Amino acid sequence: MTHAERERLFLDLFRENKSRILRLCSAYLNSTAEAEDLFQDIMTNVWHHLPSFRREAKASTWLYRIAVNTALIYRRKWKPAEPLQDVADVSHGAQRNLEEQERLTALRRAIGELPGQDRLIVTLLLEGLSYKEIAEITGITVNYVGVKISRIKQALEQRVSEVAHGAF
Amino acid sequence: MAPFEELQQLWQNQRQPVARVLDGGALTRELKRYGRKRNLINIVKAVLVAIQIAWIVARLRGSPLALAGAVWIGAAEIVFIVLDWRRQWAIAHLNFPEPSLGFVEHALARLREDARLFRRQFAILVISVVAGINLIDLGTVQGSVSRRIAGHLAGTAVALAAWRLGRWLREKRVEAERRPLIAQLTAMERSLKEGPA
Repeated sequence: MTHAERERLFLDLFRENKSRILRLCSAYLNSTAEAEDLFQDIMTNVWHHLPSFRREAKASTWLYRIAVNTALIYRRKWKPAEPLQDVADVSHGAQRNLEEQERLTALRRAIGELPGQDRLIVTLLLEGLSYKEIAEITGITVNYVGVKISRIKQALEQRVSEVAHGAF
Repeated sequence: MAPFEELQQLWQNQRQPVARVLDGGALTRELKRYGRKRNLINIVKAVLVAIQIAWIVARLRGSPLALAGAVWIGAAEIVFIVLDWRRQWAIAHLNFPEPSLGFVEHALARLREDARLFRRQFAILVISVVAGINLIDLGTVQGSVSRRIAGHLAGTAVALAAWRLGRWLREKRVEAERRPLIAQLTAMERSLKEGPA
């Protein structure tokens, strides 16, 4: 892979996956500064491993593996003091209503209460990945992914539903 | 109860959760700069060791024993620095694109192996330094037997004190960095391996 190819591929991956990876970082750490830090660590690892990237592998699976593994060994540098910020996004900002915001906050809180590894798995599921893809990323069996996810799903739905009915 | 598909939609349509993120181009430039900086640091280290060796050889040219001792120490330092780079490189270049379970197992194995290798390599370095210092003393310290013995004892004591200090500093660093990471990865590994009941 030439340097120009590496750079082009990196920028393509960055452009196509930036939002998804950022959401994963924010779900895992629940702190703006740390999510930024983790995001940069992930992109650094992506850059370093690009020369070994085989195009026959699905790019998103490859990228998610790096993201999940980087998150697993990420060490917190600060205490979680700075909460996540919502920054205006032209495409969705105008449509958001208060109820949705509350549900999203509840969802984030519910994710935050899960153990680290489950936070990553549920984020992959929320991004729309199949059980098989999650199993390929984590290296655990599809069966076990199913068991874990049904447990997590129940907890999340319950928590968000409690918020919707004012039980917070 | 909220259907999960709704949560997926809510999740995927959320606003950007992070305030300040570099654009791809800036990040690429930063990565290249980082690579150049690392190379420069390694070159500076290599040049410093070369200067040190050249200086010692020039100073001790008159005494073959002292020269042999100095070369021994220099060679041991170079070997240790190279092995240390390799160990750091191995830790920094974990195979991130592999599935998480394998990744965690390999990362743990590498972290544990690193501690074992460091202890062994550092002990060999210290033995080399002690032997080198004593050879330098043999070639340079003049005078009575008691003065010579005192020279050897002092040189050995300094080297051993440096070894204890090095071990202590290393232990402190490991305590702060490595041990929590190993604990975190061990918990992840256990959780990934549990499997369905």
